[in-house]
Amino acid sequence: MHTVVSVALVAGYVVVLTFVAIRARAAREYSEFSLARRALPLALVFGSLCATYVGPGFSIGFVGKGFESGFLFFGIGLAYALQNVLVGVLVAPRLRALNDCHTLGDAIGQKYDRRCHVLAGVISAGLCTGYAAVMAKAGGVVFKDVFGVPEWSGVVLIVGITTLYTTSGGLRASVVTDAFQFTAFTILLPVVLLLALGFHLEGGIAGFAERASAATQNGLASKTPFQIIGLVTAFLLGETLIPPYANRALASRTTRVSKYGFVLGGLFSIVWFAVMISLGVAARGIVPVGTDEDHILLNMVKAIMPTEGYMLLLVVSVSVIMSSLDSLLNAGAVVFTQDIIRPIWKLPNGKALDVGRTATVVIAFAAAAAAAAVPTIIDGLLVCYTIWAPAILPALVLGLWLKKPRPLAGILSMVVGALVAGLSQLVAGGLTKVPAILPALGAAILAYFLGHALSREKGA
Amino acid sequence: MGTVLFILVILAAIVTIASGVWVATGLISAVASFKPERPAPPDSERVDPS
Repeated sequence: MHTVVSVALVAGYVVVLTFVAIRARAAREYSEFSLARRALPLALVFGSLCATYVGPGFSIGFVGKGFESGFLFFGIGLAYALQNVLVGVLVAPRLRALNDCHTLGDAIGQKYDRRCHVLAGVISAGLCTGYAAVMAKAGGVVFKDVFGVPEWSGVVLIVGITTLYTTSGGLRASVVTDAFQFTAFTILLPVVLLLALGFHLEGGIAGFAERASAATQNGLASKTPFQIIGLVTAFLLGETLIPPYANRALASRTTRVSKYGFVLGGLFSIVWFAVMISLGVAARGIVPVGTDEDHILLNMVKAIMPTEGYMLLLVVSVSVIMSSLDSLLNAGAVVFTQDIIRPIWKLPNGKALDVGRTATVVIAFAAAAAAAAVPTIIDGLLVCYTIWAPAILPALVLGLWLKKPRPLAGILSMVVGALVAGLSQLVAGGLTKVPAILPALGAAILAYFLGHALSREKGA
Repeated sequence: MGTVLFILVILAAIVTIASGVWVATGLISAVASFKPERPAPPDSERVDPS
């Protein structure tokens, strides 16, 4: 009986997801594939944005952090909420207001020149592939944990299904399936929390508060101030306007939708982090101490829910992973087409659509292959965060705000930011206590102003 | 203090579920508004420009 219900649950999920993906139908034009015709309403921009950032790190990872260090990571996560609100107020409407802009690279190209455009495209496409590899790895881990099958089979299954609907439907398919997946996990995971608090809370409300306080103190004691500053910086800047978020800002129906999509997305992250951290704290009375962080949610659900609940968790985990993966594949493909191919060869829209579809498949293959090299989910994400923020953000933000941004400043900032971030991790990784994102960001900003000053002297 | 924390956590769970329901309604109306693809007319119905 349990097996029948479990299979019915998973089958029902797959049927509804397929229905939603088919209703989104195949993109017939490049503007549909890359920007969903710039017609996305607020609910879809918000749902898709949140579904994209709630990956395995912000769900399974945060439950583990709540278990180990209580509400410490809730405080650190507030930096992430602030970042989204600031992007919504200051940057997203400016991006949306740019004409004929499909990607961040386009925005950088419009503000600087073609070389900066292509360079931003190369960095963005590489980072999208890296992030996608981390998601593919997470898919493999979930399948291995739940079914005991080899990790590669989970990677192939998740990447294969996601590639199928993303290649065909482009951004619109990605956004509507994200919204469906968002609905699935925002209803199911809080229900698990309410069940844990209502029926499995050892020591009642006072016990919950005591466990939260003890875990938070443990967490604070286990981190140096430098580490906390590094984490806050990574949460504040590491994912700021990565290509899939920028796509959603650009694809919004109006500048107001773009603004409020990000502001609401930031506010939602506060309640989401509270729910995930509370799940971790509640698990302290249910799951034995010493359990691996990435397995807390899994073991908790196994302990308090029937077999169907376990299957439900599989559905939730797969939703969380696929909603991030599809966005990354689509964003990577659009970036490749728009920022690397189109500035060099003038492609008509029909050809650009073909290139975008092919690029989706190629990036998916590359991500699946690279998944084997990802050490852990969190480590993989931190590598991507550390490179993205210094390589792109100074050039983008200063370019949007300065009256006359100089191409040399943009190039120097991107190259120096990417190199220092990469080298700090490869060469100095583990040797210093300073998180790599801090020196890399400082170097990128310095390089920007150096390039700006040099260009002004030449121009004068 | 414990009770305040507990109530805030319950509220967060409710707001999260409400967000999911709001996005679901937006999704349903978006999916319902997608126009089905128009099939290409058969050759016999095509107007010959010559």
